[in-house]
Amino acid sequence: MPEASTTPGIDAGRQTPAHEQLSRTLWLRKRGEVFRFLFDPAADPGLTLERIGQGGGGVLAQVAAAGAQRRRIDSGLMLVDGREGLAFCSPAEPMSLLRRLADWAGGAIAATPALALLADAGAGPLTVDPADDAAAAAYVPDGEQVVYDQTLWDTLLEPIPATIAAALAATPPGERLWFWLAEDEAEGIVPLIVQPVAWDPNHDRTNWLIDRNIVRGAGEGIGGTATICDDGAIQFLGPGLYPEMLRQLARWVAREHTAHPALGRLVDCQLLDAEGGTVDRVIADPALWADVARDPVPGTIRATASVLADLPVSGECWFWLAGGAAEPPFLHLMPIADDPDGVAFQADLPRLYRRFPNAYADAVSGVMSRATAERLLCTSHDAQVQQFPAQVKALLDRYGAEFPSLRALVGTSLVQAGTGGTMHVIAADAAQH
Amino acid sequence: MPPSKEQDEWIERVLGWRASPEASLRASVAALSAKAAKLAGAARPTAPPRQQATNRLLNSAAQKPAPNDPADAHRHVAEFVPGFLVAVEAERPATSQKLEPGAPVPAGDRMLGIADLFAAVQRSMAEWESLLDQADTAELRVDTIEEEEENRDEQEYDATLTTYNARRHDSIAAQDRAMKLMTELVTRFNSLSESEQAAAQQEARHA
Repeated sequence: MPEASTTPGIDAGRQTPAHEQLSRTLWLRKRGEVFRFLFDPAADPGLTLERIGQGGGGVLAQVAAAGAQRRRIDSGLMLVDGREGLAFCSPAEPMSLLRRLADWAGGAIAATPALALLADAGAGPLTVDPADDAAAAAYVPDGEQVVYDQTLWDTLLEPIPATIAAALAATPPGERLWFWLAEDEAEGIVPLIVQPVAWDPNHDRTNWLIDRNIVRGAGEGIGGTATICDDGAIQFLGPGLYPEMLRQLARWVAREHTAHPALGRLVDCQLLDAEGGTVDRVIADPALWADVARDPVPGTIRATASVLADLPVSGECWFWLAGGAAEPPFLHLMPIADDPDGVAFQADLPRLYRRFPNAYADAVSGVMSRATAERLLCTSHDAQVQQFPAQVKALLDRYGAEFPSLRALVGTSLVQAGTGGTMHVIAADAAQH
Repeated sequence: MPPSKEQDEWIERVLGWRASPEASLRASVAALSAKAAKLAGAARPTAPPRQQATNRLLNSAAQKPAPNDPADAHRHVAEFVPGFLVAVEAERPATSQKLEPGAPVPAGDRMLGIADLFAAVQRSMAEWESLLDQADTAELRVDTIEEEEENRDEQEYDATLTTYNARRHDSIAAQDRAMKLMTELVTRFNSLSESEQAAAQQEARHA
């Protein structure tokens, strides 16, 4: 089954302030902390958490409002135990609440990856008034009254190829992932665990997946961090990585990528053995990936070239062009037909400015149009655009031979629009290639 | 410069382009320009990405190296977790150029590597603790059976003793793995501190 339609983005868990607050609360929880919770599966997000003493009464007001509307909700206290596990204490029958929480989390985890931390949560009774901060902060239910059922969480986050493919599909160039590579092959076991750091800053999801993989029969492994590079290839950085791990990974991808195309993102990946502060060895073998296709990775020049190749006459796209002495050139395009108001395009910009740290000084953005079959025209409202021809030239010098569709940029001109309808044309001559 | 027919002609001459026979060049360019105006409100940074939280974390790590005893490493590094989470949330590395052999690993990536190793230490300690618990449980059962003397079930006794020995053996292996990881954690943590101190000294010299 293709993953694309259901794959969450790299910003999952941060889509609204409420989602971000929920994610951060779960990531930053500490042992012994107590939170008021509101569980309303009909809301988005369905779970609201408020640390005792810091919340300002928001959850209590929402509980009161839900009560006035006669809506079915659960509320009470969420406790963080000595192992940083969670226990939800409420007036509801504990096992019933636990089942409803697990059902809801299974559907909501794609939008809020931090909900993986609910795995193996328990539920218990509540014998204090949750509005009483002092009583709530000191509340400890009798351990035997807290019920658990590990089977409820079995499918929440599984070490299976679909989980790995979804993580790879969501991660654009520049983002980091935690990884774990198995040292030995074992039937039915994934040899690679990856999770974007953006989804899992405190490593909980990754730990959970590694532990479950070991329970299912995986042996020892080596961990580290991975980077999606400019060309979409992945570099795995860790101590003690060795060539057989790469061969084993390639065999697994060859077996699984038809069912999980995003595993093709692993094509041409490299293992970087780094014990200290420098890269000791790069392990790569392009021949291993000869039979596996990798679609253009969004955010790469290959993807840009693909957009440009498909841009019809009169077609338009948003563009962002950067590159100077300190950084390689890069062009990001998004068809306006797919994003008429530029909302998705603008959402990409903060990541591009982080990926290219010097772009704040020289990036040019605007609209690119294919005026005729041979000629492109750009318009921009940016104040500084003199660098545009040099940036186009640098882009063509670096990528023009590898990606012929980029050669449409030869002779491209930029019209800089000013106030009162004034226009300045930046001549294309300097970009002639 | 106000719009003018001369400017139209100049744009057309420079661009060598005419949008369509029925539409004026100015109208076409103006339409594109109006669309481009939608990006005018897009947030644009005025400086490179901030590294304040990362630098603060690295500086505090440099000032407080890990103790030589690996057994204390976990507790020491745990003190830096809140600062790490703040740094990684706001300022996680995002550069995308490939690293080649001999290339220095950027400080932000080394910090992530230490965080990953810290997680491995935690998993390893949990495994060790779990095996010790299982060995203790088996040992208690062995003691109970031994107290039963002539009434004891020899088969159960042998099986429990075998389990106890296996868990003890596994827990010693787990202890070795945990200690190895903790030793590595000390080395990498202090190596990060040393490089930060060197960078700070270099910065001070330049200043």
